[in-house]
Amino acid sequence: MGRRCTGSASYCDCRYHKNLRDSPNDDNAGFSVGDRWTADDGTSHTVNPTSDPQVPGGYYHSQTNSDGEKSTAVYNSDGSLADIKQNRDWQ
Amino acid sequence: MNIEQRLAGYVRQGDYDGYVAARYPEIGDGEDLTFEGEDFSGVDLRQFPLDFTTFDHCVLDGAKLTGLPIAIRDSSAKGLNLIDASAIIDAYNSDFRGFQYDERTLLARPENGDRGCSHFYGCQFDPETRKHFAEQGVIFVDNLEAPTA
Repeated sequence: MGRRCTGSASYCDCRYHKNLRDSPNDDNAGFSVGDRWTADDGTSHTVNPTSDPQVPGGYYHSQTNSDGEKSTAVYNSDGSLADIKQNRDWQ
Repeated sequence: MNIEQRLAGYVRQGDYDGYVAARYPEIGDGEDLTFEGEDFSGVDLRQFPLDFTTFDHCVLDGAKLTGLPIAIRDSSAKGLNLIDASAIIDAYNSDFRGFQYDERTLLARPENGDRGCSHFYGCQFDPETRKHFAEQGVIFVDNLEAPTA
């Protein structure tokens, strides 16, 4: 993807966040909820359904960079950022 | 009793609602959860969100498991049941003999790169099981090099 994602999950323009917002289970996105993969820059990405009762039907995207730093954003089923405490650093 | 011990209790009791209610105020999605020295023999863990969970010195004999990623260290997982299940497991020094699987069991997606594949370091497997999953793309390392995060 060329650069490390450092921005808000809601507004970050890295292709993973854009794809997650637009169509997490779209075949054209190249991945779906329940996937884990390594990006071109070595960052590992995991997208899983959330069981958080505050985010019914939602999913989360966790990424860990090569230094082992991990960040996670939780999304509503429509791809918007969930309004939960865990996302406060993204808002 | 700490949060991990409470969550282990909910898992053993099959109490999904109790697990979720106890977990999310304390441990969010993507955050690390570690069970130490817990016995999950014969337990069906598939309904519980256990992504980014580490089983350290645990007993998972005959347990049913799914999810990704899951770490298993210094544990007994004899007869672990992943029939009709997908998982990405990073395991270290654990016993997986008698591993139960079928043609739908998925432990690696090499097209997703290294993190899309399970890794087993210094783990015991039945030879035919190891051969099957090595062909799928699972990485087996016989020595006990510490896995990287």
